[in-house]
Formats: sequence, C-alpha cells, structure tokens
Amino acid sequence: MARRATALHCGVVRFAFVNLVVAVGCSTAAQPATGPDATRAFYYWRTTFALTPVEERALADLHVSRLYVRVFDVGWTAGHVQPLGPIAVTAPPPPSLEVVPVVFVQNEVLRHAPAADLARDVWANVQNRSAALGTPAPRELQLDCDWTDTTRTAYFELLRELEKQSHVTLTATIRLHQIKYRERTGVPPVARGTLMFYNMGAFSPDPEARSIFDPAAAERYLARVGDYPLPLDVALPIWSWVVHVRDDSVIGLLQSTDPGELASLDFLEPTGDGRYRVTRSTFVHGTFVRAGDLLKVEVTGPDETLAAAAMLAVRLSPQPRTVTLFDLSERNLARHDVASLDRVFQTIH
Amino acid sequence: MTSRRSIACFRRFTSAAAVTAGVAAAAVCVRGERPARACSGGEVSIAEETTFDPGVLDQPGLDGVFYEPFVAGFGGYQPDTDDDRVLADWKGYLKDTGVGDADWKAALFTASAQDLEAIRQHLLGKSVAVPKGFETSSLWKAPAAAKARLDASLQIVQLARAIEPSAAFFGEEVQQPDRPLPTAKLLQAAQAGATKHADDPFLAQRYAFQAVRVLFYQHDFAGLIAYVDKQAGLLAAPSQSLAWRTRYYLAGALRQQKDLARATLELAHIHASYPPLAGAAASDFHIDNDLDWRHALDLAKTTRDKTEVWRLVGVKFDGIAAIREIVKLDPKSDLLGLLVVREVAKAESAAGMLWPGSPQDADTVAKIKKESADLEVLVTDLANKPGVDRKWLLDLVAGHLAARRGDLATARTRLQSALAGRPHDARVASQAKASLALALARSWAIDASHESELGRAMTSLDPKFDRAATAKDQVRTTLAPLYMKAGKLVDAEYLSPGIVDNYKVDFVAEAHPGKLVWAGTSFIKDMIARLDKTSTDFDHFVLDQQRFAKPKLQQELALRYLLDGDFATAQQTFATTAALSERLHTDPFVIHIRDCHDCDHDKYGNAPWTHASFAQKMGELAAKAQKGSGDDAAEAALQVGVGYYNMTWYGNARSILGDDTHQDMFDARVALKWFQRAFDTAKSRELKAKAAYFAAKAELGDLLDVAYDPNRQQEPAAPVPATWFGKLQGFKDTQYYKDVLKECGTFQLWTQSRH
Repeated sequence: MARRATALHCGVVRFAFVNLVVAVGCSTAAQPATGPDATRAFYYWRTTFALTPVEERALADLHVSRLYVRVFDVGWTAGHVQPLGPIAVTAPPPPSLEVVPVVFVQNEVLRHAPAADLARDVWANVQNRSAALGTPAPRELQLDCDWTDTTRTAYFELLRELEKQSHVTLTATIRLHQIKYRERTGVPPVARGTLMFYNMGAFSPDPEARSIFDPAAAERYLARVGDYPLPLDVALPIWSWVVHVRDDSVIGLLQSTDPGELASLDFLEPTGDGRYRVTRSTFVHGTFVRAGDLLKVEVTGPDETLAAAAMLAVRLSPQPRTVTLFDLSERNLARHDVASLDRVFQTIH
Repeated sequence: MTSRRSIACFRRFTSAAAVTAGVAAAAVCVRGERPARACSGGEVSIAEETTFDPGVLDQPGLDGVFYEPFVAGFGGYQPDTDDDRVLADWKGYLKDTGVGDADWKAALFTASAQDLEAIRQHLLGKSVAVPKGFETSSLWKAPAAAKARLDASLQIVQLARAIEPSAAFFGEEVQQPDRPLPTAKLLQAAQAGATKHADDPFLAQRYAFQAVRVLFYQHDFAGLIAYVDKQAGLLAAPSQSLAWRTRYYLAGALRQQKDLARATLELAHIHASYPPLAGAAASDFHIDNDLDWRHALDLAKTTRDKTEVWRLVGVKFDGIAAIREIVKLDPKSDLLGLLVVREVAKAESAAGMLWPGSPQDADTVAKIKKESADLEVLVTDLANKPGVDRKWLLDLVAGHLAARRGDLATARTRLQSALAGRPHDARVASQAKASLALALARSWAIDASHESELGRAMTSLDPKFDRAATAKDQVRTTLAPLYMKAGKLVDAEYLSPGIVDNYKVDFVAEAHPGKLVWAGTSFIKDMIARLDKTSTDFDHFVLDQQRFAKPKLQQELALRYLLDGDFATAQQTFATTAALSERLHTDPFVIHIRDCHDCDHDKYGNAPWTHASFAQKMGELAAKAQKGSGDDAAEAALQVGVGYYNMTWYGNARSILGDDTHQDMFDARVALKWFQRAFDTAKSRELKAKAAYFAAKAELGDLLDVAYDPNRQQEPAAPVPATWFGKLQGFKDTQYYKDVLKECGTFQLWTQSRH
C-alpha cells in the first residue's frame, strides 16, 4: 500500500513550492556563445595507454592541452566492488598534456557499496592509475555514470564523498536526458558538467536511423541546455560504428569495427542501402556474426560533428569551457583530418 | 576496492595452490565477456525467470555454463573449483600412510611455508616442535615405512607454496605490480623433481605441473608450450585435474603467443571434457577475426574437434547457429544437450515479459514467439532423427516448448515420450509435471477435468524441484485473469493477489478509483470462507499461498466496516473473531497544525491503542457526535474526523491500514465529511476555526491524491485547499487562526497571494 513518500505536512508543501520557483524562474534566452577560446581536449577510452605518432601529431597540430583518460570502470562482481579494465600504461603522455582521469561508475555498484568506502577505493585507484600516467596529483577528476532514479542518491553521495576525500575539482558527464529531465534526475553536486552531445537516437535496423548524432533528436533536448544549473563543458562525437542486425532487430554493436573495413571482407556482401549481409558465420573483431545477419554502418563524419558543434554553440551561455572530442584514435583521425577538427573547435567556445 | 578484492582472491588461491593443482587463472582470463544483465534493480535469478530445470542433464559440474544472464563471464575462474578431486587424488596416493583426510587437507590448504617445514622436521625426527593446529595430527602416527612418501608429498606442497606469491590473474597484475616473478631456482626445482620422481607418476606429474606454472608466471609462454609438448605424457596422468589444468595453462600461453587457433582448440577440449573448467574455458574463449576463425576450424581435424569448437561458440556466442552446425556434423553428438537446455532458458528468459501484468510490445512479443517456435522446430526435428543422444531430453524440451505455447496435445505426447525414455528419474518426472501444468494453464477451460488434472500435477510436484516455485507462480498468474474474467473473483485473488483491483490502490495513479472489490465486505467475507474449502487438489493449489491468513482477513473486514461507518459491526468483528488487533505505536487522535508522523510515533510509541480499541473509541465518539449537540457533539465529530484522517497516508496512524490491507489509504474524503460536520455543528468560533483548518488538511490530501502521477517528469505546482482556507479566513479573530498563520507556510503564502 505504500505508494508515495510525500506526506501532507506544511513544510513539505512549502518545500515543493520553493523547488518549483527555482525550476521555472531562471531560464535564459538562446544566443550564440561568444567568449574566450575553449580549452581543447580529447577523450582517451582505450584500456592501454600508448599514443601513436599520428595521434601525437594531431594533438600538437590542434593545440589540444587536455586529455580525459578513462582509467577504469567501477563494477560489482561476485559481491565485491571491483575496478574493471584498469588502464595499462605503455608510455605516459607528454608533459605538455594535462591528464584528467575519468572513472565510469556502473549503476549496480551504487546499489551495494557504501559511499564513503566506495569513494576511498575509487580515489586510491585513481591515484594509482594517474601516477602511472605521469600525473600523480591530478587537478580534476571526472565521473561518468548514467545514474537512474534508484541510484541517484547513492551516486550523488559518492560524488560528495569523493570531493571530500580527494580535494580535487570534481566534474561529471551529463547525458542529454539528464539535461531535459533535471527535476527528476537531479543535478550532480560537482563543479562542472560535461554534456555528452551524442548517443541521442535509438538503435534501429532502419538504414536511415542514426544513434550517435541525430539532428532532429538533438533539437528536442536543446531547449533546456542554456539554463542548466551547472557550468557546462561539451563533448562531441567523432566516432563511427557498426550496428549488428538479425531478423530485423538490433542485437548489438560492433564498436571496434570501422565501417571502412567492411567492404574488403569476403564474407560480406553490400545490400545497397548502406548495410552488408553476412554470407557465412564467422567473427568480426571478436563478435560472432551469423550467416544472414546484417551489418549497418553508422558514420560520424566531419559534417556531422561540425553540425553538432554549430547546434550547441547558439545554445550555450558565454563562459570559459572545455570542448572534448570522443574519442582519440587513429581510426577516427583518419576520418576527421586536422583542418576539419580545428573548425569544430573554432565553432564552439 | 583493490585490497578487498585482492585479499579475497588470495585467500581463495592459497586454499588451492598448495595442492599443486592450484592454477591461478591462466593468462586467457578475459572476464565478463558475457554481459551481465543485473543492472535493472532488484536481485533476480534465472531460476525465478524460467520453468525448465537444466539440471535434468544430470551432468555434475556443468552448472557454471548453464544459461545465466545475471552472472558475467560464466562466473570466471574459481581456483578451488575441484578441490574435492584433488583431495581424492591425494587420498589414493597416501592411503597406506594412515594419514587422515582432514589432517592432510590442513597441510595441503592451510599450513604456511614455515608450518610445512616444521612438519617435515618433526616427521623426520629432527625437531620436537609441532606447528600450532597439528599437535594431534595423524601425520605423526604414520608408520616408518610411509615417512619417505609423506616427506616427498610435503616437499611438493612446499614447492607449490613457494610459487604462490607469483601467481596472479593477469588483470590483477595491473593492480599489484610488485608481485614477484618466480625464480629460475623454482623452475629448476620443479623440473628436477619431475626427473627425480620419474618412477612415481603421481609426483612426477605434480612436479611437471609446477614447472608449467613457473613458466607461465615467468611469462615464458614459448617455453611453456615447448615444455608441455615435450612432457605431454608425463602431464597427462594420473591426475585428470592436473592434466586439464595443464591444458588450461597451455591455452593461456597459446593465446599470449597469438596462436588463437590452437588456443581455441585447447579450450574447446577442456570445455567439452572437464566440467570444473568448462565455465572458465568459455570465459576465456576469444576469436578476433575471420582469419583466426578459419585457422581454428582448419586445425580441428576430426568431427569431434569441430563439434567441440562449435559447442564453445554455442555457449559463448550463438547457441542456435552452433546447434545447426553440430547437427550437420554429427546429429548424434552428446554435445548438443547443454546447448539445447541453454537455448530453452534463453527463450524463456526473454519471454518473461510475456507473462500477464508485464509490458508487452507487439514486435517484441512476435519476435520472441518466433524464436521460441524456431527452437521448437529445431529440437523436434532433432528428436525425430534416429540414434540421437538422449532422445528423452529432446522430447522433454520439445514438450516444454509446446506447453509454453499452449499446445496441450503435443506437450502431452512429447512429455510422455520423455518419461518413457527416462523412467525413474525424479527430476525429469518433476519437469514433466511442471511442463504439463503450464500446458494446461495455457489451454485452460474452467471445468472439473482441467482443475483436477492441474491440481494433481501441482500438489504432487516435488518441492525440491529447482523450478517448482517459478512453475507454480507462472501457472497461477496465467489462470488468475481467466478466473477474473469468469467472475470467480475470490479464486482469482488467491491465485494472483491484487488482481481483482488491478493494483489500483498500490501502483496506478488513479485517485477515487471507484468501488474497489476489496472495499466490499461481502468479498472479504467470501475470501475468509474460501479458506475452509479444501476438498480437492485444486483447492489446495489455489489456497497454497502465504498472503491471506484468516486473522488478517478478519482484521481487514473489521476495518472495512469501520471505514464504512458501521462502528458496531467493526467492534463486534474484533470482539468475536480471531481478527488481528495489534498495538498501533501511536496515538491516532493526535493532530497538529504541522504534522509529523515519525515524531508522533516517537512520542506516543508506548500508547496503548490497538486496532480494536481504536474502533471502539471511534464508535463512542461517533455516537456522541450523532446524539449530542453544540460544541460537545462538534468536538466528538472533530475527533472522529481526526481518527479517519490519521488512518490515511497523510496522518500519523497509517499503520492501522498498514502495508498489507487492500483499502485506499489515500482517500481523505471520509475525514473531510466529519470535519465538515464538526464545522457545521460547532458554536465556538475557536472550534469552527480548528474544524476549518482540519478540513483544509483533508481537502489538500484529496487534491494531492487526484494530482498524483508517478510518471510525472516535473514536480507539479503544489495544490492549495482553497475552499477551506477560504472558510478559515472568516475566523481571523480567533487564536487558532493566528496559530495557523504563524506555523503553516502554505497558508501564509496563500493569504499573501490574496492581497
């Protein structure tokens, strides 16, 4: 019978009213963001850190000064908190690059681990991995979590504990739905948020459907970007992937597969609509594909990334911010040359 | 997190490594390749989602590779997974020494390096000191002739113990960079031991195995492959545990050397032949690209090799594709059974959303049904082929799938065939009963014949059957809507509690939901009476639930009378039946301008009020209100209103209705009526002001009830009880008005907005 948690007490009612005032009382008109140049950055999302010469050259040519490096995921395995896929460092980044460690927090761990203990463990591991990356005392720590109604409280508590224990500037990734439905999802207690301006469409076998960047879907979220209560940095997509379709349903993503590879594989035949049919069962970058499956390519090229930057630029308030591209890899740099990426950075301040 | 995990792992490892068979997860450890689904909240197990018990396979040790979407990576490698086999090996070897199992187990698993050395010294008569815990060990009673064998055994345990600090999961080495590499001296000792004990295959195999471990943890993968190839005979017997663990190390080394084709073949052999490592082998199986895959298939020369490789693919990636390939290669293969039961579980798990009460998407439903139908065709075709392995299993699966789609005739035929092919197997018999019950439920007709057959199947189902609870639950939730539709509301409610009111009160945003079935005293009386009708198996099945006990139902009947204003019958029910009457731990007649539920429970936790005394007091107050006049009657009416208000979610005595009655505790309209009555009757302006404010509370409760929407995206504007705030404004001259204005912010804001 316990349906809701709000009792009828004057104090509660008044509190709700005050919340409402805050929620509706501070919207701003959309206008192009103008201000100092943004700090240029990339996400580094591989599990072994070793910049290739091509990547180093691109970072230098683009005057990138910061790398957001995923150092590990935090998961819940066999009844324990566990760092998953901790980054192994083959060669640390050049000292000219500021390294910001990023930790991806799985929701499941938030359902089990007390915030203080979790924060202590996370911070200890961050220090360990940051030291390996040549940054024993990072100035910023970023957490990435697609928190839910049921994990919000625990996640926010983790953030508070981390700030208390680490004494570094804490930032968090913000997904589009968290911008739009902020009253429901809450606003994380951090210094800044990084708006992930991607992953905005549903996966679909439809050859035309786009899941990484879809301008029409993006438009639906943009109205509330300008008045988000946190200073916002921005992350833009430059990656591409392959969608795995079976019996007209999406069954997975081939994230490690570059769409450009497919044309040369002898077990695939093009269907003419941007998709390929598997002609015999085999493996593609670790994924088993069955004869008859379809592989749909989804490319984020320079035009799409620039369009994303332009859409956001007119919605953001003018203030110093960081623009981060997801993610740094030779594969993505092959599709986005330095000139096109430079235009992206210049578009959004 | 590092330390906690590492300690746990190390403890597990030490318990096994000393046995010499303790492989600390070979290099091929890639965890979590099977994505865990346990991220949607709530702890669900596969046994709660599915009604087919894979245990009918009766192949101990394969549990780790049953379909389990809630465990990542098939549970990963468990170093102590076959401790029992290792102990059994040692038991055979030491049988003439007189050493007890427990004593040797202690030496093997728990003795420290220092303990082991002290044990040896004492055993050989070189020291009188005995390690703690070994004072009365049977080791000391070993006959003189056995001491040499015991000492040799302890030496190999010592060697294994010395290697332990170097043993690590590859993934953990990142976190423990200080883990030492094994020394050349250890390798030399292991290889020399193998040579020295060449005439003792038991010890020779163990020393050779230690050499394999050392090479692995030295990261000398080429050396390990060469050593295993050279010493293949030595490493293959007598211990099967060590033999397969050696191959597991070998697979890891091959993978490190990028020989994925041979690594795949090794893992496929391990997976197919040694159940304790089947899950680990599946976890570690990885093929990157078409070239590796073709090499692996080329390397698999025999039909058995090929089917083993395909089974690994089936367990890890695509069961249906693998079944088809294996059937093409060898339709009689004994490797198909596991894949078939896994696919049944997968299909059933996916179909979880098809059960009544779950969200259904037409495309998803169609897709899941098609997949299940395809599987049934595949399994039925296979069952019809001559000479297939365990035809009874295929019949059982085909019967179960037919049952799930409500094809009773096919289900009966297949299940009977399964029982005939596998008589005297209790687990198969239970599965057949459960499947038949599902078939009956899904092809139901409300008649004595169906009820009788289903009742028999359900009441005779072995409660130890692994899927008994889930099968019963699914049968109940399938039948309940059918009984509901037929107007048999009581049976429907017993079969699936909550169904008669469609969870209106609990979960649906429906204020004033109309007359609830549970709001009718006749329904509650019928529920009570049904408990006494137990003449058939079907009766027993229907009533086989924990939710409805007679005293609780009688309490709910009494409370319903109370809510209906029938105070006398409410009191009588409490007085003359076994209706539960418990302490309320609050004072249900206390109310404040600003309420505080928990504060009242703290303050009045020891108050003597019970359900029965509350009902009695309500009756007395109502009588006074109805028979009296003026302020006395108004005060009594006000108190009745307070009682009713406090029974709602908004008051301090919501425990009266509790979490387990079926009444609408968000409806404050009864309280509002009594406050209105108090307001109308009162002569005193102070009393009128109080009645008006209490009425505003009830009015606001009702407004909140109407406005409630669990799916709202934004907090709505808070409703304001304008009707009764308006009436309260007419009493500005009263002290009570002033008190309200001072304490209640909502009223303050409302009055300010009026100016």
